[in-house]
Parts: sequence; structure tokens; C-alpha cells
Amino acid sequence: MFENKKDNQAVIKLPSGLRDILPPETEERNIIKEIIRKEFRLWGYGEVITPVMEYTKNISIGIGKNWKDRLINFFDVDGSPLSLRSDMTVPIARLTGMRIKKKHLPVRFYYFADSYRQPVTQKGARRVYNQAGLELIGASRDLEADVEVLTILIRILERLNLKGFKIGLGNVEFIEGLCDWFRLDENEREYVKKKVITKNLVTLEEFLGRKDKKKAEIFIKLIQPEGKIEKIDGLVSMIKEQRVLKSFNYIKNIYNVLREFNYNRYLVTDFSIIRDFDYYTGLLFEVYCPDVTGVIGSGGRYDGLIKKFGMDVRGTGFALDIDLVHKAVGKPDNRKNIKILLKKKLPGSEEDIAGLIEVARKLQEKDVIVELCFEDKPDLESFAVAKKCELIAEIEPDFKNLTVRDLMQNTERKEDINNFLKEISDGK
Amino acid sequence: MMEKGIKIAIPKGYLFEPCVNVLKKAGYNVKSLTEDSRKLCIDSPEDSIQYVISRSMDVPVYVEHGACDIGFSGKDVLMEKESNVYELLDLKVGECRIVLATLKDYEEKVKEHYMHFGIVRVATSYPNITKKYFDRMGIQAEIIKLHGSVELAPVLGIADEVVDITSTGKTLKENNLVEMEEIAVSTARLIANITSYRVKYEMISDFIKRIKNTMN
Repeated sequence: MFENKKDNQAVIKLPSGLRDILPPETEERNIIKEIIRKEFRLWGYGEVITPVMEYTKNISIGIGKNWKDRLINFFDVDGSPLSLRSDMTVPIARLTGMRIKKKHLPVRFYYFADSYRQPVTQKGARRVYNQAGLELIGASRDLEADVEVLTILIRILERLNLKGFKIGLGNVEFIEGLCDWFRLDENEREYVKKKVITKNLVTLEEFLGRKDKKKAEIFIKLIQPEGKIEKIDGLVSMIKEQRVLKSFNYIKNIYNVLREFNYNRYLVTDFSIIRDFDYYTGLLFEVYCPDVTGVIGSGGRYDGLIKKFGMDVRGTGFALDIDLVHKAVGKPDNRKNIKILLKKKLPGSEEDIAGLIEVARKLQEKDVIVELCFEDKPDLESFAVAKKCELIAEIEPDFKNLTVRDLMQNTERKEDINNFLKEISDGK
Repeated sequence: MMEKGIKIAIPKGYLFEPCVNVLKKAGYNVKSLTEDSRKLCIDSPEDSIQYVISRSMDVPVYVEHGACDIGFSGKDVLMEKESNVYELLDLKVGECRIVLATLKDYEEKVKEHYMHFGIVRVATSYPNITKKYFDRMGIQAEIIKLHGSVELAPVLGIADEVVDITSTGKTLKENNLVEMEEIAVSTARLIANITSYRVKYEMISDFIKRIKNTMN
């Protein structure tokens, strides 16, 4: 399976959790990214690019107490602590506070970017996250903004042809409200939230059961995933806690709007969703796909974050994890262009190079991908197949005729160059 | 890949029997599980379930990576592996304790050794639990990982103490070991893969319901 390294060859390594990506994979990723980019653009979002590293004090805002373990840190020449960005929401919040005036709001940004995180537990886990995402900042009405963002997300997932995906909808406020209901103090809240994140229902029920057994049962029931929101309606109304009712109704409103487009079949309410970033404040969502372990996309509302960068505006958005989306999509198959391996039949003189390039350019004008071959390969056909070419075209020494080998149909013919160009443009 | 059903990881070893009993009590057909066979993947089409028999230490790994949707795992294994899985239910079977033990009449010697060298030597199949325990106590520990028969280590003199599971205490006694501390109590738990828990929530919650009903 693996070719052996030659004895005298040095073993070259990358730092753990990082990798190179080669053309066959980037090709597929780019098809996926194009589908996503198109949708972003159609909704009027504009692309932003921000520096991959920034001052640690800015990057660490909103990440939470454990940011030191989560960021990749180093020092600037003057000794200032720097960090690689660990997501794009914080840099975009920083950019908004720094560059955007209130009169420009709302703003709609999208990005394709790598972010870097220190793995928490496993050695060798990924440290780079290639994400595609968007942020809608400063919209005056939360519900409308959240619905817009979720609609775009669902449209993208549909266009990517993902089968069986689900979006879990949660609300941080709901869990906070349930903690109010139990009259928990600060430490107990932290503890409960931690157990909710890790879905340790056993410990959670034990802990809450010591406070109130009946309530604990309701708590556990409420944080289970549920496809039909009506089913938990009755349960929620038993809780006379403003914060719980308000946050539940918010999710219900979103659910009802999305139902208009029959999008509710993708939705699962799940109030146990709490993200590991501290800055989320209300709605939270995660995308799951069968056969892919891990959350392929996530997002939510972060109303306090941009204030920390000097502008008090609300924001919402999401990010898709391109590695996992790629895994979920598999091989996207929509290559339209044919590819030709072009070479001269005989080596010939150096002046002939111009003639070869000329033919290549003419073919490329017809949107054909042309890979030049200057070498005499002993097995040209398998070389061409490995390069994913459909045709091999060899130019005869007279520069008037071509020998064309069709690798799909296994045929060979001799043809006039101009004739061949015409056939190509006729789509043969 | 079974699209319509769920895959369940069942641990080999001492938890196998109690887990199969839980399934049986909940009304699942376990005949194929109890047949004497070496098959590791067993289909149970009438329940839309595929069972995967695995080493107990691997159950959370299979579930974490989505090879199985849910699984039965001892809490001891969950504590050791710290896998990113959801712990949904305490099945209250297969109880055992994780204990720190040493040779009989050796306790004084262990303390003396620690006073002298500031370090203890511990043999265990649970290096993570052991490290966390000694970290919490502020004691420097040299941990020797063994894959079973940990009781041998003090007898053969490669470690002063062991961290291991015990249910009746019989094995400890037979090897002339005495318990010094109880680190944790473990029972079998039902765990779930994060994605399956959302994508197959109906099947999984139905499964949990059936099992819960037998427990009350």
C-alpha cells in the first residue's frame, strides 16, 4: 500500500495536524467552494480577507477562559504576543469595529479562510480548519437576519446535494433559563453547561435530581433532539420562566418561517447545543450529515462580540468546515471541460515549440484544458489516463495534421488540425 | 452501510452478559448474539440492528468515529478514553470499582519509598485515570502500562502499586493485594455518536425508551 522510502532519502515531516493538499483534492474542493461562493454572492454578500495572525489580545476576545490552550501563539519582533486566528468571526468583528461606520450597516461579509486551533485532547488531530462562512452584521431585526442566514445555509446544503443532512437548532438562553428555573448559582451553572456540552446525561440527571427530581426529568427531556417542535410545546409551557419561554418562542418563530419553504424537514430542535466559543448569545445551530462524524457546519448569534471592538451592533452567521463538507459530498462530478494531452509526434527542432504553443492556445480558446507533454513516454496512454485526459493529440511533423487517440472510446484517427479545432468547438 | 437501522457496539468480556441481558429485557432478539460464534458483526434484521462485538476499550472509539451509532461501555473505559461521545444512560449493571491496591503488608513500604524518592511506581491498564488521580493528589507517579494481569506487577517487583478494576475483590485477594483507595465506581453506560444522535434521533430515542422502561 505504501511505497517504501529509499534508504538514502531523508524523511521529511510536517508539524502534527497539518497537511498538504494536492491537485486531485483541490479540484474537488474548488467545485464545492464555487457552489458555496455563488450562493453567497447571490444574496449580496461580499468577500473579506483578513490577516492570518493578529494580536493575541484581540484574537482571544470571546473565545473563553481556555483560550491559551486553544490558540497557536508566538511573539512579534517587539515582544507583543501574537496568535493565529482560531476562527473568522472574531477577526470580522474586529474589522467591523475598526473600519465600518454605523451608517454603512447592515453589512454582509463572506470568507474562505484557514483558521488554526490547538487540538484539545488527541495528538495528531487537525490544527487547521478551512472554512467557508458568512456574517450578517448590524441587521436591526434578529429574526429576519437569522432566517436569512439559515435559508442561505440550507440552499447551499441542497445545492451540494447532501443527502440526509440535519440542522440542529438551539438557544443558549434556553439553557440559561433552565438554570434560572433551578435557581443555580454561578459555579453550578458552569457545571451544568459543561455536562450539557458533553451530553453527559447520566451525571446531569444525578446532579439536578438532587435539587428536584421532577424538574430534572423535564430538563433531560427538553435537551433531547426533537424533529417536531410541537411535541415539546406542552412541556415548555409548564415552566413558568420568562427566559425559557422567550427563547423557546424565538426558535419556534424561526421554525415556523422556515416551514413555509418546507425546510422544517431538515430541522431538529436541540437545546443541548452549546458551542465551545463563549461569544454566542442566542440562536445556535449545527449541521450534521450521516456517515460524517463531526459537525460539518455551525453558527449562531453573537450580539456582544462586536461591542468589545467598539461598536455596539448585533451579528449572526455561520461557517462550513470544508474538509468535512468534502467528506460528506464525496466526489463532486461536474467537470465540463475536456482535457487533452498535446505533444509533437517527433522531437523536432526548437523552433517547433512555437507551433505547439499555437495549437494549445487555439484549443484553450475553445475551453479545452491542454496539458503539454515534451517527453517521450514509453506508455503514453497510461500516462494520459493518470493525468485524467480524455484525448491524446500528437502533432505530425508537417504541423498540418494530428493523430488523435480517444482514450474513452479507444479509437485512433488522423486528422487535419483545423478540422479538429472545428470539431472541438462543435462539441464532439 | 445500513441506512435504516442502527449499529450497536457490544463489549466483549465481563460486560457482554449484562449488556445482552439488558437488550433481552427490552424485548430485542438476542439469539444471534448468544449463539456460540466467532462472528464480530451480527445482523438482527427484525430489529433493524447490527451488532458489532468489540474489545471493551475500543467501544468508545468505534462510537466516536461513527463506525457504530451507539454502544455499551463501562464508565471505567469512558473515563480512560475521554472520547468525544454522548453518555446517555446509566444501565446500572456490570458494576465494578477502580481501586488503588498494593501487596499485603506493603503499605508502609510504599509510603517509605515515596518519602525517600518522591515518586511512586504504578502498574495499570488505565494510564489516563491513574495519571489524573495522582495529579489530583499532587503525587509524582511513574506509570507502567500493562495490557491486563496487572496484579502480577507488584508480585514481580516492577511496580509498588496497581490501579485496576475489581468487582468482588477475589482476584486482588488471590494475588495477595489489598485495596488502599477507591478511585471511582463504574457501571455500564449507553453512549452515542454525536452525529448519529441527531441524524437518527428517532431510532435512538426509541431504543433508549425501551431500555429505560425495563429499568423502572
